[in-house]
This record gives sequence, C-alpha cells and structure tokens, in this order.
Amino acid sequence: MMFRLPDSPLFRVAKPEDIILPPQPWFVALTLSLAFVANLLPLSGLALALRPDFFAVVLLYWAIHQPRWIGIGVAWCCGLLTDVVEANLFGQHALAYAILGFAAEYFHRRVLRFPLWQQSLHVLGLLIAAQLVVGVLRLMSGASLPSPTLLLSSVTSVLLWPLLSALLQWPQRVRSLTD
Amino acid sequence: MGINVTSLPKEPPQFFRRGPSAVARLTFFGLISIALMFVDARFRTLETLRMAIATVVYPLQQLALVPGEMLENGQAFFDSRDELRAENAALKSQLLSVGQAAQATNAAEREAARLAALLGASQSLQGKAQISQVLYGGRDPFSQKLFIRRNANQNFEPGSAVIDGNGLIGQLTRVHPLLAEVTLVTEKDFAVPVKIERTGARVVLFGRGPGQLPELRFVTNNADVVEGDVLLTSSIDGLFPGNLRVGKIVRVARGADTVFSKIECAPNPGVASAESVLVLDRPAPLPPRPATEQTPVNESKRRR
Repeated sequence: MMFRLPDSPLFRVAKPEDIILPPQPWFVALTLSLAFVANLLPLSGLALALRPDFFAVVLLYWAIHQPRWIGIGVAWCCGLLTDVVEANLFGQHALAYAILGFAAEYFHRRVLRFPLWQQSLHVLGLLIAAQLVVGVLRLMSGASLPSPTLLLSSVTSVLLWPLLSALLQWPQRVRSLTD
Repeated sequence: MGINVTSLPKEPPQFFRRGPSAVARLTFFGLISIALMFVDARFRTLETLRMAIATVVYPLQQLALVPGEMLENGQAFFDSRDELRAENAALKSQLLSVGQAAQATNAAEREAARLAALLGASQSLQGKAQISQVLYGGRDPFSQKLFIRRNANQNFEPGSAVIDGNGLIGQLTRVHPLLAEVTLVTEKDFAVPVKIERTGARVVLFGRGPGQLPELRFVTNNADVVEGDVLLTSSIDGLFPGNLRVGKIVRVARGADTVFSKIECAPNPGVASAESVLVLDRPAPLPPRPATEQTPVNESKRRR
C-alpha cells in the first residue's frame, strides 16, 4: 500500500488496512469547534435550508474514525450546545446526536470498509434519521410542520463527507507517506 | 500491510471491555435527554444552565458573525456615490414626514397627559425604550426567533415588546448576559391582543409558524373587518404598550359553513428584515384582576 503514491496526497483516503498516525487530540477539538462555528453562520432563507450540518458531519466523522474519544457522551454534550444556540427545547439535539454517536459506534468497523460513496450513503441514512428524531420531538412539543426542504441539509451534509474524509485525515497521513 | 479484520467479532472480548455497553450508554443519555425536554417544557427551571452555556458559547457566536460583517463592509465600500445621494434624499423626505407625524403625536400626547392628569390617572403614557442591534435570525426551522445584542448596561426584561420603525415585531422571551432572544409575531400560536384601527374592535392575532401569515381567530362572519384594515396593539395584556402597529389585514375569507371568518394579516416587514430594534419597557402593571368566586365545576376539575 505504501508505494502506491497518488497524484495528490491531499485527496487520498486511507483504507482501513492502511496504518496512519493517530490524530492529535487538539486537532479533533479544533475541527469540532470550527464545525460548530460554521453552524453558527448567520444565514437565512434558502441558504439556511441548504446549509449542511457541519457539526453533525464532523462529529460523525470522528465518532466513526476515533470512537474511543468521541462516543455517545461527547455527542450528547455537543447536541446540548446546539440546543442552546438554537434556542430550542433542551435535549432534542442532544438525543439526536447521541443516537448518531451510538450508530457510529455500532457501524464504525463496517462503514470504513466501503468506498467513499457508499460510506456517504450510510451517513445520509444516519443524518436523516437524526433529523427525523429532532423533527418528531419538535412536532410533539407543538411546533408546526416545517417545509420538507429541511431534509436538503442532510443531502448537502453528505456531499461534504468525501471531502472531510480526505481533509480531516491529512495531518495523520503526511508523515506516514514519507516514512 | 493489509490486516484482515472481517473475521473479528463485533464486540471486544470481555477483558478488553471498557465501561458500560453502547446500548446502556445510549439508554442513559436518551433518558436524560427526555427528562431534560420534559423539565424544560413544563417547568422552565433550566434557564440558569442555558444562560451559563450561552455565555460560554457567545465568543464563538461572535466569531461566526465576522465573515458576514466583512462582506457587508466590503459591499458598503463599493456602494456608489449616486446611490448614497439618492438614499440621502429619500431619507430626508422621510424625515420630514416623520417629523410632521411626531409633532402631531407630541400634541396628542400633551393633550392625553392633560386629560390623564385631570382624571387623576397615575400611569405613565410613555415608557423607556432601549435600542439594540439584530445579530442574526434563529436557525431553528421550526420556530421564528431573532437574536439581538445586549450591552452590559441594558436592562432587558423578558416579556417586553420589541419594535422597529414600523411597529411591533415580537417579544423578548429570553435574556442572556450578552444577547437576548426575541420571539417574532409569526411564531406558531404566539398571541397578540390587537384592535382594528378603523373600528376599535378588540381581537387577538395568532402566529401560525414559518411561511404562513398570522391570522385573527374567533372573528364572526358578520364582524366589520375589511382587507386593508390596520391592526394596533390594544394593551389589554399589560405587556405591550398600546397603539403599536402590528400589521395589516390582507385576506378576509367568510365561509358559508363556518361561524368564524378566516382573516390573514401581513405582519410588519421588519419581522423579516429589521436590523436594529427598540426594546420597550413594560408598561406600568395593571391593577390585579378582581377575585372571582370559585364555581363548583372548577372545584371538581381541580380535584381531578
């Protein structure tokens, strides 16, 4: 595997049997924070409907690639943060993200063996499930039905998956390729 | 370098296991979430926790506003001089008409104050207003919220009316140390007691959620309501000062098969576009409601 050098090392994603460096804890924290801030961008209208849930995707990425650090508990705390900044009922995103964390823990050995586009399909299913959890909880607490364009954000989130898989692995790979 | 992991069992062996199983942890956190949701919805006792987290997160929220502000500043730089001049002229003419209206209002206020003094009424007619800047709209697609900046010396009170130049846009619902949350009049089931400017009839306006116009409920088919009627706050709730413009009726549908008409109202454009808002102080509290006799029906209900 080591001698099959790609055209651009930036966009090569390690296979599960490749050995790459472990990620730095600060890098995991930094990317999660950046994704959180990206979610806070003041968008409205169509841009808001199309905005990927950066936080959920990055969280799912680390939960799948580094399940020992980012598990159900961390995902739950992240959901609580989202609930506060969106001025929602406490606990609805917490529950949805905890389910994401659980699914990641359950699937992480299997998902990574698929090619990227099939991984994306898995992720799409998980994100839509998480959105449906939030939606059902909101409807139960008396909100009105939002427009179905809401689910578009799951689709745009999934388009990020291959890109993130390449970018978030970059610092782990650079030195392992030059070894 | 390939390591075949397909034959490994799904769960690690007993001696590698750390902590409780995934299902147990999911159940634990799921139950906490449900408990939190229940407590938050029923008792509203988690506001201090919410405020603490909001304060910690505030710098990150400010950081997220930076790209938008930079973009805006860049655009402002490239605004042409002509555009600014035209805007200046328009604003001047607007100022004139507003000034005229303000003078008329001043006169009316003086007269009202005289009358109030004559009547011995002690209530203040004009409350204090605090200006604030809109930070961003709510990101929750299920609700209609707005977040405004709060300076350290500003004394916001939940429940206060929030207006822009045209009239009422919402109500303060949560006050955090550095920002405040405004629920817009378009929020589902958000009720504003209003009166029709033309007839003075008191009605209640209900929001209907994102993408839908608020409606007047419980207005009978024979009521005197026409399209174009302007709605003002009626101040009988003791929260909003009176005579703030709330919106304009755009559709009246009288059904032959229903008792009540379906009346839709276009809220102030500021609900969608306000950039700076005024937070009005709550008017002087109303005298307490006279005690009513407990009827036997109520008693039996309470016992249940």
